[in-house]
Amino acid sequence: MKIRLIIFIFLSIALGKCVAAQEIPSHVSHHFTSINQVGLLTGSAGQAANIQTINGLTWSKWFAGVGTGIDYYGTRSIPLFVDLRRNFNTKAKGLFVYADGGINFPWISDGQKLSRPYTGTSSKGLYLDAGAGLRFKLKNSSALLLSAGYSNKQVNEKTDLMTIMIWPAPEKTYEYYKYDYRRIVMKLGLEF
Amino acid sequence: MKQFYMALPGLMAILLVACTMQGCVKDTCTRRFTMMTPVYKTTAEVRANIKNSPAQTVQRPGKMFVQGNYIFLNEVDKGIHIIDNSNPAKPLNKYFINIPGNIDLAVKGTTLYADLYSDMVTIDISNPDAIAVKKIIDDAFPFRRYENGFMPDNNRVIVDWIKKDTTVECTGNWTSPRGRFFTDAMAFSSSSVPGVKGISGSMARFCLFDDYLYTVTNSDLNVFNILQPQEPKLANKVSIGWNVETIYPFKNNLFIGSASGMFIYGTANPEQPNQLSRFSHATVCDPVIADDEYAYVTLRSGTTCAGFTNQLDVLDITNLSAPKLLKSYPLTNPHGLSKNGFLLFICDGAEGLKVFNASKADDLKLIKTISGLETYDVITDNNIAMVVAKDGLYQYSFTNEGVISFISKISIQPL
Repeated sequence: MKIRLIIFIFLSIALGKCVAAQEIPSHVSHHFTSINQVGLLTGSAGQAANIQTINGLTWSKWFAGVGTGIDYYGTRSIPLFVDLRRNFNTKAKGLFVYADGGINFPWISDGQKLSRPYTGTSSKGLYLDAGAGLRFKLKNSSALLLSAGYSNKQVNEKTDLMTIMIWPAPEKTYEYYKYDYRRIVMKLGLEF
Repeated sequence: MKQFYMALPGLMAILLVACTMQGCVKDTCTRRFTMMTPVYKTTAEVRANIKNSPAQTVQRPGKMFVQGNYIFLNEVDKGIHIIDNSNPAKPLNKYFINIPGNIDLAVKGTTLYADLYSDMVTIDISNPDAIAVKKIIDDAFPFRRYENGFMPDNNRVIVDWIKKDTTVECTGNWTSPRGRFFTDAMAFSSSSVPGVKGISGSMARFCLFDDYLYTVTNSDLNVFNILQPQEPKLANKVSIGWNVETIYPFKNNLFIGSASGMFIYGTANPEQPNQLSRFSHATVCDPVIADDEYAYVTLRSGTTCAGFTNQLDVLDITNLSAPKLLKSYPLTNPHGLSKNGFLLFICDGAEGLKVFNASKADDLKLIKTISGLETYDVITDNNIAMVVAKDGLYQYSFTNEGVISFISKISIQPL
């Protein structure tokens, strides 16, 4: 699942670049757009990076697309989300606002696994990100994006408690953890 | 508009600082669990309440002991169901004996031995309608702990638990998800022997041998002299090792299963059992049974057992001083087992009950798999296999040729 998502991310970037490289006829009201960005996440757990690719359609000053990436903050994860954004000036330098919402799939790193004394099962949680930024139009319909926002991702975990080797085994008990990561995110991206 | 762009970085910096001050970038972690609060009774109250009560529904069955027409079935940490099995097609759940903390049991004649957490209770069951406690040996099993981390108390006994779902903030460094260690019950447990009419399962930690009751704790072999059955006396305590799980008597020897291997102890001097040999294996749970030539050891892994081995090891024990591995057979998650003639019954967890033709120990043939039940332990007696499963106590009749038929089931009422 995770490997497929990573492959999907890179394929999306490559595909987006190919599609976006085509000239957009003036009579076309909407066109494919690919946004690829790296970011710095800051919160109480420190700083971490993320990468994202968002691909979708632009209508006039609106953009709607589907995005994914890798988020290294707290628990490494792969968010899958819908992105909606509004450009206030598409001619040159302009302000834009964006909002993302979707699902956050945990992808626990080997280091995080090693730090866990007992097996738990991680499961998906919510993913939200919203903010504003500046869009600097470049040549060939591409643009440089600078943004800042507020992001929230959740990871859930179910842990069964360790018991001693006996039979009959004690009644099975579980603990449920809900991790809520709240961060400021600053991103630098390229739009094709 | 240009002024707005110039001011944007400043606005964002203010937003960031304001956000930090407000705590909106504070990560949180909540932990939801079932809080277990013990319900206590005084030791005197509990001991006074050890008597035959009306039958109760089976909810969490543990080990069983079969004697004559009766099945003594443990209700984990609660007591013992007494089931009249005169007619295996219609077993009758007759009585329930309240023994908090009970896991293991054995019956000799008309005397029932059972653990009450760390104490051992001796009960006269000669009159099933009016059983009577004859003796309680305090702290006979000092390693025994209560579940959920609560420790024994000299004056109070936990008789029940109140469960409450609780959500709290995580403590400590929880930046990345991790589990928690939690020690649950460290239990003791029961077995069979020629010469004694009762039969216990291979998962047992109590076994009877002539005038002695042998019990294993996590590390020791306790010898109780029961020459006077209702006046048991702790005669000896032999240190074995760690993670001892089961004991099975055969002829003059005791076969002890531990997480790291099987021990054979001789009983030439019944009060001073001596180690004859040890067969080591991977660290897993391992009930053991034996016959004249072979020991059958099931190795299992799982949540409560370490390791990654799930198999049956057949050991050649013709030389008790040097058991040799004859052959291993892969299984899924084997628990208790029982042998009757050339038929070998193995509880293979969720795979069900497997019946093998064991006429050739080095070439076991699977005769039948009874699936659809999650099996834990089995006792065979009088061509009837009594099987403790997740959803009930099943009984099957079998012929010496291996033809097996379902007879009855006592269903379990889920907690």
